[in-house]
Amino acid sequence: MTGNKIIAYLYRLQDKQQKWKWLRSCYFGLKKVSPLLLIGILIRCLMLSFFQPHGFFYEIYHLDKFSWISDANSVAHLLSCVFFDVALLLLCVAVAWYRGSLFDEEEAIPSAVVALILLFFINFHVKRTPADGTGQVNLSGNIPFIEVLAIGLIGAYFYHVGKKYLHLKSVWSFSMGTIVLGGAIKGLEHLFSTNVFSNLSGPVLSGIGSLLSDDQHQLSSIILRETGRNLFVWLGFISPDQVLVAHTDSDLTRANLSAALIKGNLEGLPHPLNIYSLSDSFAVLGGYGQVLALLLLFLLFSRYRNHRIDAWKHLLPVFLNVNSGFLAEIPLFFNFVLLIPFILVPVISILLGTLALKSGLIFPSVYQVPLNTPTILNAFMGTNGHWGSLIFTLIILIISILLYYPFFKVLETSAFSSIRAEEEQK
Amino acid sequence: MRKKLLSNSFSILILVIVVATVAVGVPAYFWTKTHVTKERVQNRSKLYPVILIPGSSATENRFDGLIGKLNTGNKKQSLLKITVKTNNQLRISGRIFPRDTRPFIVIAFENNHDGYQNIQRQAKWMSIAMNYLAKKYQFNHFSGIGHSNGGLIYTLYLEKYMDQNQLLLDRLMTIGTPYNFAETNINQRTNILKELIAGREKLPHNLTVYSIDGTTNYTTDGIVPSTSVSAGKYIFQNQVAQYTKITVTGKDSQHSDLPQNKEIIQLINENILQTGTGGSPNVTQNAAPQ
Repeated sequence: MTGNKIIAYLYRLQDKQQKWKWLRSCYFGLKKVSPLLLIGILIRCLMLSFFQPHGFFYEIYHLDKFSWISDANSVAHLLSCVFFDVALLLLCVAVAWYRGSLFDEEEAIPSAVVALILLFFINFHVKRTPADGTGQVNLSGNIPFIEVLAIGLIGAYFYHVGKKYLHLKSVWSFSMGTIVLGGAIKGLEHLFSTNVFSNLSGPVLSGIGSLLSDDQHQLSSIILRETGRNLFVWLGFISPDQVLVAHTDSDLTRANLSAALIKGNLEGLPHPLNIYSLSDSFAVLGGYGQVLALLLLFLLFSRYRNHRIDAWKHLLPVFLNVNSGFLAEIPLFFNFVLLIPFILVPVISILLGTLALKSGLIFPSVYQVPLNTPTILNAFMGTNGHWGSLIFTLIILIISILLYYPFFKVLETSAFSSIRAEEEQK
Repeated sequence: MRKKLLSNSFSILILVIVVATVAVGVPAYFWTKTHVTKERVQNRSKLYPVILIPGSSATENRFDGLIGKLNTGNKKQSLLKITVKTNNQLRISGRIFPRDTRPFIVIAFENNHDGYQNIQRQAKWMSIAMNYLAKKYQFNHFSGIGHSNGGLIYTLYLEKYMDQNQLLLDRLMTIGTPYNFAETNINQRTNILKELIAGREKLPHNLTVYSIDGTTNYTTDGIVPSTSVSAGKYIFQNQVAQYTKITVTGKDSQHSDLPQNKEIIQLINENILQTGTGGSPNVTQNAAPQ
C-alpha cells in the first residue's frame, strides 16, 4: 500500500518536473548533443583503456610493445577534446534556443547568440605567450554540465528580461548588456576565488575529497562520502571527460596491500573496510550511481526501441566507468525521480558489501588494478581472482537492477505519456 | 511481440557477456595472477621509510634542517614525527602522503636525557613507536639514520627488540655515535659497549652499516672522541653484511653540526636514499670488507 503511494507520488513528481520549462530546455539540449558526446566519450574510453600506460586493455593485452600507441594516445586525446568542445558549445546554444523559443519563437536565435557570447566571455582565458601573443578559449571537455546548462538558461532569461523590462533592443545594447553580465559573473568568480564556472566540478569534488579524505575506514563516513559525491553528480557537477579511478593508492589500501603481501593471503587485514574495498568494488558498477543496473534495465526491458538502442550505444563506456554520456542521455541531472535510486542504490550496495566482508563471505579488494578497470571486475581483480567476490559483485548488480526497476518504470511510463501527448498534438 | 524483443535483447546480451568474458575476463584474470605473483616475489612493502633517531637532548625537530636539504627540487618526501612520552603514549605530527613510498619518520623521546639507563629506556620506547608504525602503515623494511646517541638507541633496538621475522632494516647510518661513550681509550670498554658487543649476534646479518665520524681535529668532533665512534667496529664488523667507517672533516664537522654537513647529506643521498651521484671530496673511507 505504502509502496503504491510512493509510486503514485513518483509519477506525479515526474509529471510535475516535465512541466518545468527550464528543465525541459536542459533536457532538450542534452538529448540533442548526446550523439556528439557519445563519440567523444568512446574516443576517450579508447584512449584511457587502450592507449594510456596502466590503462586496462593496455595492461591486459600488453600493448606497451607497440610503439605507435603513444601517438595514438595524443591523437585520441585531441579528437575527444574536439568532440567535447563542440558538444558543450552546442549544448549551451540548444538550451538557450529552446528556452528562448518557449518565451517566444522570435527569441530563440537571439537567446542562443547571447548564451554563446556569455560562454565565450566567461571561458575566455587570456593566456598570452611571448611567441604569438594570442588568447585562448578553454573548453576541452573538462567543464561540468551544470556550467553549460546554466549559461544557456542565463542567456535565454537575460535576453527575455533585457528585451521586455530593460528595453534593450539594438544588437549593440544587447552585446554590451551581455558583456556586462559576463563581467559580473567573472567578477564574482574572482571575488570569491572559487572559480565557479570555469572549473567547478574539480574543486567541488576535491573539496568533498579533502573534507572526507580517501582514508576512511568508518562505514558512516564512506557512505557519507559516496552520497555527497553522487549528489553533486546529480546536480551536474560532472564533466564529459570525468573518469572514475579506484582508490588503490590510499594509506589504508596500501597498508592492506603490504599486509597481504607479507602474509600471502587476504585474511585479517588491518583495514578491511575502506573506500576501495566497498565503494570502488560494489557501489560504482558502471560509474557513479551504479548506473550499469539502470542501463541493463533500459537494454532489456524498455518498450521503446530508441531507448534500447541508446542503452546499447552506451554499454561500452558505462562498462568502462565513463558514464557521463549515459547520464546526459537519460537524462539524470535534476531528475528527482532518479535521485532516490542514484543515492540509495550505492549506499545499499556498500551496506551489503560490509555485511559480506564482516561475515567473511568475501575478501576485501587489496591488489592494484589497472586504470579504468571495469568496476564490475574491481573486487575480482582486487582479490587476486577470488571467484566469490565476482559472484557477490554480480549479486549486487542484480539487487541494484531490482532497486532501480520501480524508478525505471516511472521513467518509461512518463516517456510513454509524453510521446502520446506529442502524437495527439500532431 | 514484446516478449520476442525481450528475448532478442537477452540473446544479444548473453552473446556480449560471452564475448566479454573471453576477450576481457580471461586476460584480466591472468593479468591479475601474474601481477600479484610478481608483487609477492618482490615481497617488499611499497612503503620503505627512512627512520631517524636524534641524539640526547634533541627533539623531534632535530632533523628538520637535514630533511629540508634532502627535499630539494621536485623531490618531496613526507615527514612524520613521533615523540614517545614517558608514559609510553605517542605524540604524532605530520603525515605520510599517499604515493610517497620513501617518507621520513623521526622518532624522538620526551625523556631525551643522556646516560646508560636513559638510553636503555629510549630503545624500549623506540620499539613501542616501531610497533605502532609497522602496524599502522604495514611496512616490512626500512632504512635508518641515528645521530649521536640515536645510533646507540638504534643498535640496542636491533639487538633487543626488533622482530626480524616482521621487519627488515637494510641500511643503517650512524652519525657521530659514541659506541664507547666519552671514553677515549678503546681498551676501557664502557657498559654500553660491553652490552652491544654481547648482543651483536642478534644484529640482522644482511644489514649494511655506515658509521660516520666527524673530526674537527685528529681526535674528536668536539664532543665524541673518534676512538669511541671507531669502537662500532667491535659491534658490527664480522657480524653484519657490510660495515663502513667514514670520516668527515672540514666545515660543519662539529658533533651537533653533522646532520647538516654537506658531505653527510650527500652520503645519505647516495647510501641511504640511493639517489645521489658522484663522490665526495674531503671524505676518507675505511671500508672493512667482510
